[in-house]
Amino acid sequence: MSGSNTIDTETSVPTREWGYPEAIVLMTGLTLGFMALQTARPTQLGIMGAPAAFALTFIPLIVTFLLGAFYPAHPVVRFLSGIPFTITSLSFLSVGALGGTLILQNPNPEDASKLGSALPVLQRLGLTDVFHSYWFAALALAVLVCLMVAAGRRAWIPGFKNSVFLTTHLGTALVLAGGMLGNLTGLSGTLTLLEGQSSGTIVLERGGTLELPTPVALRSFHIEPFPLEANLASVEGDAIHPQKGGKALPDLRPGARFEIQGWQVTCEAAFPSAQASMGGIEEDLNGPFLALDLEVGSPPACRSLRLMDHLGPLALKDGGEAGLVQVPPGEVQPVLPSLIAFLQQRTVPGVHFLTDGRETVTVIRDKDGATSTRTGESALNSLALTGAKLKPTRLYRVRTSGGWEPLAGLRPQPVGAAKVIAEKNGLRREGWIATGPGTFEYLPLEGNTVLMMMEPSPKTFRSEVIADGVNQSIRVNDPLMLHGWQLSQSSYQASPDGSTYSILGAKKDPSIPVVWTGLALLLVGTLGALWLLPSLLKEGGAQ
Amino acid sequence: MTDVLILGSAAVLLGSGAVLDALGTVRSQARLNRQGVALCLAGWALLIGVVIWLWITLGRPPIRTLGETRLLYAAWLPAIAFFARWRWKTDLLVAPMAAMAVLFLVLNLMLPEARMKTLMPALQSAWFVPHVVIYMAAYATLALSSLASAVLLVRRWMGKRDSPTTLALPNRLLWLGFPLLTAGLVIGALWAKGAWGNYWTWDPKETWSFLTWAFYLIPLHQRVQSGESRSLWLPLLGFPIVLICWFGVNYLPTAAQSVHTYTS
Repeated sequence: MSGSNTIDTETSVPTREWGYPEAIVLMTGLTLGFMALQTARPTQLGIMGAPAAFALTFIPLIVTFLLGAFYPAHPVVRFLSGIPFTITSLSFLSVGALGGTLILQNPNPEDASKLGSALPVLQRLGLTDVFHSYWFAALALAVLVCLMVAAGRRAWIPGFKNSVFLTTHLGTALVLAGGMLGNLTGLSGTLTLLEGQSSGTIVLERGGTLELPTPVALRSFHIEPFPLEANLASVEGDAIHPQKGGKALPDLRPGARFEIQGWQVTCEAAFPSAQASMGGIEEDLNGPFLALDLEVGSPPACRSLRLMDHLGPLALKDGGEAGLVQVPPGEVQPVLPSLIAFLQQRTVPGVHFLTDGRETVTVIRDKDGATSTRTGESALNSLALTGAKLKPTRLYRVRTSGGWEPLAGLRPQPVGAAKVIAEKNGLRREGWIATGPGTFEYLPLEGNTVLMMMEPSPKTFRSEVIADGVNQSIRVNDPLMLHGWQLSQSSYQASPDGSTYSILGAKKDPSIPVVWTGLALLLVGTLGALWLLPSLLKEGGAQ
Repeated sequence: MTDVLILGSAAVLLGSGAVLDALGTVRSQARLNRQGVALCLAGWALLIGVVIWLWITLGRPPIRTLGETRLLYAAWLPAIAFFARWRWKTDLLVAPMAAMAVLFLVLNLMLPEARMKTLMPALQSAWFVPHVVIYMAAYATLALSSLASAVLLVRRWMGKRDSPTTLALPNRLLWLGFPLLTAGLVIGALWAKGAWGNYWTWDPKETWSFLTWAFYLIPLHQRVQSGESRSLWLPLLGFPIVLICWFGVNYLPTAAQSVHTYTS
């Protein structure tokens, strides 16, 4: 439409219809105007009663629809329903939404500090909460007006093609209007329940709390795990690289036998949720791992640390750290420069023992970042670090084994453990593999290849609750509706006494019927458009 | 190694098919085109076989990880291209489609993933399969629309004059892909409502799916306005937007705020 000329019949003066330039000016003005309003009144859209919100949303929509229906030839109606305004308003809304994915939204204090002096400006302009800002709502309203006027202009035109147009445009408008209504009236928060307790207090996302019409009691919380999965991995220093590609990973069930790259593996025991029942470290002259016992402090107030390569550096009580780096025989001197370079980049002072079991070098990094080394017999002598006395007492070979026992119930962040025997060409490896916070163990097979366990993951989790005196289940994808509120299983957390907190998402949104109607119309209309495809293409596409 | 062999074979078949088809077009030899199509069909059959094999051995739909969605996408590309070839009698898409499928298969071969059988609870929904399968079909269709635009622009730049029917191909694919995109979006909203209580939260992934949807509205409306299909640039520009929505979102500053991180 942009640039086309029409004749005004009364004055006979050619007038140009509004097109892209006017649309861009209008949308820019709208955006900047509402940004200015946001700056003057730096609050986000707030909650209001459903009747007021419905009136605020639907009255302008109905008016614009009627405007389109009864004055289809009016220049303003033609402009608001024309392609230039459609594309411009949609583009402005899209750019606004794009901003919401490029700028951190509602940043936490740590992220906010990274934004520095830009933060107050971004906040004033509503750019840290784009989707609840006045100007974004205004842009959405502009698209809504465009949709409604366009639909109104076609209200009286019969035919299937026109029905498709009306259905898609009204459907989209209802979805947008429903979204705005949801912003104005919706309530969203979390309800946290401890096993055996009852509560109806919802902590709202926008701050504050609200009581449910009736409290909900959590009878019990259940987690069902997936079977544990084994995988081969290669170990390089502290890093472990699970094997990728190939077949589906084998399950670790008691009695399971499987083949993995030529290794015949038998699983003797498996616990999806387990705890170590003994130290897990055995001295072994031929063990694959080295351990260094370190006495920290002076008797009688000293404590022992056991350093192992795969445990990483351990923090010392008075500051600093101590670590053991194990390398293959003969690799101490070649690795030493890279270890020194690595330690110089760290920010904490520390003592690190680099050893292949025969030769040991001690690298000390002081608080200023300077490093010094001790070699030969002096490598394992006592030393002082950040005021503390450190005395290496024993360097020895170990194998990591020990036993694991199942926990009574699966707890959050479970530690999976399994006892396995792996055999290949006369080689036999036997031991425990486990995973979980701070308990990682793997079974060395050959070279740097090991058998490891993938992180256990829950298959389902559910809350057994009593609501309105009735026993109910809430699980992921299967929420509970309660007096207009939807309670969805969100996550869970361990409590210090071993029971579990169930975290439920709570949502009340009166706009849902509007949105569902809109989505249904949109889907039906889109399918209708697909049906119309041949005729639409004949009209426009191929000519 | 099994999947490496099968995916590698599929890539070789599709790649050879692309070369033969392109040669057939350049030399105007229909026999080469037919041979190219036959090789691509064989490669496509292998891809479908891998998807079925993975579904059976993993015990879950193989559409959870980024690599698995790439595989599904690569399997959709020939399906849509052969549909377009049958429906609109054009060979324009076969070679570019096969080249793109090879690209995604090579990516999968270069970036293998551990074949875990687990499926997080939120993904255990009746909406999961239709949502991802329809979205991948939409992405493949819109990618082919972009490819068709690119080919037509190159031909125009080389001085070739294409028939109106050929020029309509990007628009036809766009009109096919857009309803699929809409259906994927609607199913996603229904699923999110059941899983989290919110049908839409302007999460970065959701926002980009809106941006993709909004972007494709522009060429659709432009076509209606201009009544012609000379506007070949817009479908072409849509391709990077789809890629950002698919996996580029994971690299945005707000990625950590997204709950849709299953495929990262």
